[in-house]
Amino acid sequence: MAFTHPTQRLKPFRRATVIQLIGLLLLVFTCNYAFADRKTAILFVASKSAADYVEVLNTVQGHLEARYPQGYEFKSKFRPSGKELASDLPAADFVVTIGTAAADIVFSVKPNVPVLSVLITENAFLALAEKYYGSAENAFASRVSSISLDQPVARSIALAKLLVPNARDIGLMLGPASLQRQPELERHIADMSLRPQFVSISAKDNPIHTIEPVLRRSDVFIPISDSRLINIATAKWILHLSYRYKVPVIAFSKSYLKAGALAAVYSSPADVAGDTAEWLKNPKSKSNGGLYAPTYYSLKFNESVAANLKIKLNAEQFYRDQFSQEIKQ
Amino acid sequence: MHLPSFVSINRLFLSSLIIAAPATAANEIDMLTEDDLLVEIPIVSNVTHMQQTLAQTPAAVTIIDRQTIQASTAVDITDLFRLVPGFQTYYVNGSRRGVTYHALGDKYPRRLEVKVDGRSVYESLFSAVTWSTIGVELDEIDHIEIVRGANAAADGSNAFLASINIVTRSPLLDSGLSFRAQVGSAQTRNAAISYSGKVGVVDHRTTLSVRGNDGFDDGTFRGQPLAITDDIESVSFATKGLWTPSANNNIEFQLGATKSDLWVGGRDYVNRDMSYQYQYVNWNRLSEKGNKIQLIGYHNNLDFEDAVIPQKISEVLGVDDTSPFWPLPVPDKTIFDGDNRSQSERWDLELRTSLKLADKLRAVTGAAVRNDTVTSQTFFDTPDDISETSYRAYTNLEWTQSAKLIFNGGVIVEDRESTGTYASYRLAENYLFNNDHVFRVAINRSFRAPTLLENNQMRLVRYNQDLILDATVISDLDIENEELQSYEIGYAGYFINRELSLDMRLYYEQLRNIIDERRDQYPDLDNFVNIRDNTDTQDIKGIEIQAVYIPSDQFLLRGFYSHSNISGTNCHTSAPAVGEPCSRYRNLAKYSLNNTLGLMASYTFDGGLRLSSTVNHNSALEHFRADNVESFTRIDLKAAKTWDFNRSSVDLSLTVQNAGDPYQEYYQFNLFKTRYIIGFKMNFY
Repeated sequence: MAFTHPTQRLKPFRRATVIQLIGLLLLVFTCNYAFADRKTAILFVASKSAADYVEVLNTVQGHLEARYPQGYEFKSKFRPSGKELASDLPAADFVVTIGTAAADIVFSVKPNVPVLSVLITENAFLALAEKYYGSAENAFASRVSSISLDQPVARSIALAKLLVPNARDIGLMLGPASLQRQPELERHIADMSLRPQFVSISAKDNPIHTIEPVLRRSDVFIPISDSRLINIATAKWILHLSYRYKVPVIAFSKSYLKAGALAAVYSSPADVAGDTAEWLKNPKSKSNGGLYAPTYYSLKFNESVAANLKIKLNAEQFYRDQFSQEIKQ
Repeated sequence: MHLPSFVSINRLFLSSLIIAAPATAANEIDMLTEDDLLVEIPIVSNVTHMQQTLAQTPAAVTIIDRQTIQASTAVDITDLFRLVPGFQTYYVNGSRRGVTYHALGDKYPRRLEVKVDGRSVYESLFSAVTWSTIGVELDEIDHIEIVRGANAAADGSNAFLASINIVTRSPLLDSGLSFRAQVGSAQTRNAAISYSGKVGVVDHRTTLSVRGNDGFDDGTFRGQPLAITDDIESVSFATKGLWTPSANNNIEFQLGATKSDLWVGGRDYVNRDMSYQYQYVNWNRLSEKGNKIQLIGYHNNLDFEDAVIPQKISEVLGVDDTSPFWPLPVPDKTIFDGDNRSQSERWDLELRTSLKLADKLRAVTGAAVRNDTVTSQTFFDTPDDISETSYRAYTNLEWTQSAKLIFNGGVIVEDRESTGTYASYRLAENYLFNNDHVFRVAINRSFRAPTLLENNQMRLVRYNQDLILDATVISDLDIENEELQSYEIGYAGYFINRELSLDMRLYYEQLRNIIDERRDQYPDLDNFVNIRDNTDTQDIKGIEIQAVYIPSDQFLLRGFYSHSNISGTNCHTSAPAVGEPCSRYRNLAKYSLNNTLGLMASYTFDGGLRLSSTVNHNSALEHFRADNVESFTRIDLKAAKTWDFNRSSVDLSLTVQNAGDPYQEYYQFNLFKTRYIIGFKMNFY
């Protein structure tokens, strides 16, 4: 076995290694330098510059800037034209649509980057996904996601149960846009050992005479959000009948609550922004899109209505704690 | 602002309706959008005809809600206006109430529009509201919206200084039978029975009520005893129905009648037998996008007869016709023996649309036609009907320029046979410093047309067709519109999680061509007559502050302070010749109610007992065409408790009005002494 001087053997190795190491260091340094300067570009497309849309946009930006001060760069467009959008899309790593009209515009150009649609109902997202991608699954495959604006009805039912623990009959009003959910809701309510009392209403029905018999025999009544016509045309009568028969109403919006519902669980712009920021920080799936229920929610109570209905409310925090545990289960 | 042609404006309005309708229809999307969830649910109708939050309104608004009404010490609707800054509420006598805002409060305050569910109850025969006939029970009021400041741009001519809309409760809110009664001081005797239920597809509430009191106790006038005969007795019937044939259509109708036996006047009282009836229909249609079309039609009819006692001229003058001092060239005869019946009738039809024209632009547009007819030999010296048809078209726009800036603009064009075509407008800018602090700047230019009474009054006592014994009031032949230009700076603030709200209004109102009376010579027995004409000029400056604190459902605190200053003149005596200034002016400053303060507190204990108190302070005032009244502080107290039983409830209350020394109301001899009223209510569901 021939003996070799370590230096003679080491020299070529050391030279190569040093060169490789220097190269590697250079590579790492340059990559690091490049990546450190490369911010994630988020393009916000909003339906309009109204208060709720602007609040979502600003709050999301605020969340992300606070968490990663140098991590993102933002661009905002309010209902842009297709041409305008086309010029902004190449520079974007993510597109966030705020509102239905914004989703409509963005879906129509089918961007090659992930898209997140917020401030949009589940119903509107599914309709637009089918219109532009053929199906929701195809939209997901194209990395299109949505966080629904509408809170799951299960949360309204959970809130009803908390506020009226002895309730047995839960009245639910469904409109043309929500009627297909009846079987799912029926199962869910039955699982909670409650009796569902459904009433469906269309624009042609007499609202008072359709709703009254069901509301009257319910212990608590939950109108499911539907088209604006159904929401507006029935709200007044539902709340008046609620007062007459002392049946509390669990509402889906803050304005419904102010108008005379006992309580409401809904997504405020701040809630939508919270969900959006979290999704952007940590997307549920990098390769596929999806349709997600909102994580955040707002709970509000109307003390004056409670007094009229002779319902003694506990402290709000009690319901918040109970509700948060309830929906985790 | 006089315009050349009303017809062209009307055409423009109709065209805008036609253009707007397909524009909204084209945007229909067959899916639920965020707008469906975020949309404001319009439960409360607004005096400005647009669903607005208080931060969006172009004027200062006071809402007297159900909670306040129930907690208040009010026995009558007009008592509620003691809670509103800038308002004056007073008894002309036990039968007749006066309510006015800022301007001189006389027997018939006339520059305030009052509506019940959108139906104007302002009577053109009196140029005022007869509160005793409107037939609305306190228990049947849902809330009252009071626009403090001119609202002519939305409500037309009569809303010259302010506008009140009394919104009655929906028949859906109650069910079964309700019986209410109040008895107490001044022989107060009020009772009502109402039933809420269904007749076929119509939900209704029908009420029969009686109200009565003996008014003020007898007093003294200039050291002499004075018999005050001012009792009132009235019976009312009212029904309110609701039919909702489909989700996007609803029809509300109302029918009512009131028969009152009351006394008018001060010192000399005349018995008046008054009948009032109304019919009202309101059809609402909602579009898919939440836009609304309304068609409102109503008819009011007021009929009354004064029991004037026929007298001989010699009895009135205290001189026999055989005396050398008999002033007439004709013999004595009986006068005041003619027809003392008067009638006033109104038909009104209005089409209104509420549209969202763009994301940030909303509009309420309407067109209406009204016919007023009056008949009164006493007031007009003719047995013939006097009639006027008027037209109005208006639009009120709200432009949310940004999250911080809202502009409101409204214009109404009115056309009358008497005064031609004219337009009133309002411009306002609301700056939202943030959601809790709103600053408002507004200007108003309003016109008020003379009523049929003001334009045609001819109050004469005749011997025969050729000889006039006495001319009391005669209308000038060319009375013009009253004019108002007002400026206001407002602030609305919310504190402590919105439990405390604060509203401030700093205003300057310039009133010109105000219709009043000037004295002139006339060839009758006393040689003078009052000519109704544009005689007054007023500048009113002031500040109003209102605060409402509701920390919990048990506690309610409302308070206000109002300061106003009137400077102006009334042409007391006509000019000696046309074109010359009046011979004598009267300074109007002394008729200003400078300071008013109100505070209401209510607390409901856990057991259901509710204690309320109201404190009102009015500074000293010389009532226009009445008496000096001293400043007073009035304290009202109320204790109420409700007991709930199975499918029924009982409510007992004790109200003490003016728990202190008597104070004067309008005339020095109207002494409001402490009144105790016991209330009882039973509901069977």
